[in-house]
Amino acid sequence: MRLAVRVKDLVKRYKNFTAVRGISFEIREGEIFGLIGPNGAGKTTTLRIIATLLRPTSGEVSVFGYDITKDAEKIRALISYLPEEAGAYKDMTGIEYLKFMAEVYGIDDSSALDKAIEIADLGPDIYNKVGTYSKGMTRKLLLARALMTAPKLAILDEPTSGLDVINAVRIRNIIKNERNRGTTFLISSHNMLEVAYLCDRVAIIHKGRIFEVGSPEELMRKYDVDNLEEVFQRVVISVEE
Amino acid sequence: MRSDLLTIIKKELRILKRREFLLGILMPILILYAIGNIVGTGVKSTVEEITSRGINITVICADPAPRNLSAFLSVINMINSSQNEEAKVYNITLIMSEPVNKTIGELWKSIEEHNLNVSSIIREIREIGEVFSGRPPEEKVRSLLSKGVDVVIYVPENFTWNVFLGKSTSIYTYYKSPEDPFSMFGNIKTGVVNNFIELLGKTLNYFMITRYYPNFPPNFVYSPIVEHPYTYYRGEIISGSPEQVFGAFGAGFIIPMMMFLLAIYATTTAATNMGEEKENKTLETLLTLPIRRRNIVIGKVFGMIIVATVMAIFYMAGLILYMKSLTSSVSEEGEAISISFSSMTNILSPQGIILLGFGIVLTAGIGAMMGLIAGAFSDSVRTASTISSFIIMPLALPAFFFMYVPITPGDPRLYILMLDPFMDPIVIMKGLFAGNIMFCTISVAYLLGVFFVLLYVTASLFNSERVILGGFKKKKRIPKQRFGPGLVRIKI
Repeated sequence: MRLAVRVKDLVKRYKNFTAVRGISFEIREGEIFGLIGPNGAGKTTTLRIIATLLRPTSGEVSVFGYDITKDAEKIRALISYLPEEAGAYKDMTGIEYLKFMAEVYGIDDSSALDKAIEIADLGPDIYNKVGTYSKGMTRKLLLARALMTAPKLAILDEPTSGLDVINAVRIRNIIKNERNRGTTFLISSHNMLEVAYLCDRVAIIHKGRIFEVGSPEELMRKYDVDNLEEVFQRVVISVEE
Repeated sequence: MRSDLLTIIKKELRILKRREFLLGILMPILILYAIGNIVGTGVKSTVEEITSRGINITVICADPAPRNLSAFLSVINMINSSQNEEAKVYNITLIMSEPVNKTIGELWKSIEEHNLNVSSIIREIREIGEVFSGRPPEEKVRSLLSKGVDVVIYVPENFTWNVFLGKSTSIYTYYKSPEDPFSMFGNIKTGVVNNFIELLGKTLNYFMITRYYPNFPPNFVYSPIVEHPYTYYRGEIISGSPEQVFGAFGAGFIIPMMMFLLAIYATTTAATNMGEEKENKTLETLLTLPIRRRNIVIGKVFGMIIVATVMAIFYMAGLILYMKSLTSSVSEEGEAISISFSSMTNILSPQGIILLGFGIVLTAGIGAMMGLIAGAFSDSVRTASTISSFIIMPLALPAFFFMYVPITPGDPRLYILMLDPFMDPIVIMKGLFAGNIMFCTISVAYLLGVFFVLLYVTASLFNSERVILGGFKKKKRIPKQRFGPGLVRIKI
């Protein structure tokens, strides 16, 4: 199967500390891949590098065969990135924001906009200014923006953060549906239930290093536990020891 | 690529629709218009009140000169009998008073007794020479001013004497203080009284001319020459004095100020815009969209130029409105502004206007890019505004100082000033008025160079991760644990 993302010996050093210390993993096309780890593990830095926002200090990263440093513009045309703490333009209405994004991606097809409106599920509030939205409403709008363009790779940092249970479940189902339509997902989450439900494979990252990669079932079998949360705990504790 | 640019420009122009932006540009206009109207109406109503009520002037005349010879009484009679509209404002009450210095009274009596004609009287007075007056009766003045008199004029005993001597003669003026001395309209009455004193002087001139040269038209003495001014400018003879032709460029400040504001607005708006992108967490998404980073920069720069132009136009419109409303109608200043714009189009060649316009746009663009850089190193609107003010200060202050300094293109100082991009539009304008197109072209070429260097720097910054990571944050200080005297910190 074709590789969507290939990360090899990735290192990211900031001025005073090293966030990522030589990690390697691969994401296959059509896969939902989860990156899990405690706070400050290096998840967001890794996602930002793959989303072309940051440059690796060393190592190789490619997306659908394109090099992250040389072909950043080509990669941006294929991906859609949803940061954990993202916002939308407050002076636009929800519908204006979606139309602006459609214009950026050169989408004339009204069905894409209809799809975004459906994902956002904001009802008549879609015609209100984003500045009046709650955190959850903004998150739904941003998710709709990320998925409306049918990207080849969607990088979602904490996709359901700030959403209630009903909306979170609905979004998870949408992600699964989109995967079936051909989108590859790279997801970072603290919610192990969500990761176990969504992801085909996960990587456990801690202190800038990846300690485990595999399907949730494989990892649960390996550690002889009932859920991914316990796997995560075991890995983190063993690293600390 | 073109569509990317248009999309970003359109996005940035949304600022124009914001309620706070509209309020931000409309409020100064409304405030300026209101101030102008309040002041204009206040002045108008005060003048109207003075005109309807009149100014109560009491003249204490201690001049003992005979009625047919008294210069002061003749002048007052001339004012009272004249058809002058201005004179109708003054309600004059005349009180004849005994001279303090009795000598003058006796001198006049002895002159009268000799039954001399005017020229003999004058000769006699000149032989006697100067005679001094006594002090005005202040008790009388106090009593009059406390009973509704606006101004008391004391005419001393040597008034006519000095006139016949050909010497400047004195009067003493006692004004009643306005009810509110700090009111901006309080001094209007004083101005009207000053006009009366001026009228006295003019009428005295008139009196002397009619007495000495009875066949001579006195109006000629007031305005013997009517000037028809022309200005020689770069080989052309233009109707009007240099002040009329270039008035609003030199003495006025409209156009240089507009250029100056445009550059400042472009810088601050761009910095705020970037600060907002960071504060609202929209920058990361924007930078992962399939738009070339260079186009994001260019789109933002052009958007900011348009926004800054709208702001500058509205601000200047407010200022013009203020000037017009201040004077209640189309004022002299208002006319000066329209003269300046029309003379600008007459004087500058189309090539010159294009160069000037190009220079202004480039300066605004340079300001916008500096604002974007300032915003890139900030993490909020507040930090972006602070950083941009540090950029604006050293560039704008020299521009502000030298905006109205007379420097011609031959002056080498101008080449140094040219290095400040905020100065260049003013430098270009000075060059155009001096007819030195080459100098202006050098300035525009310099601006073009700075524009592209900054475009490269800004686009590189947007291409780097500095735009995401770069942010000046205050380091949180962890307070040191303090121990009381005699206590020792023990490491366990």
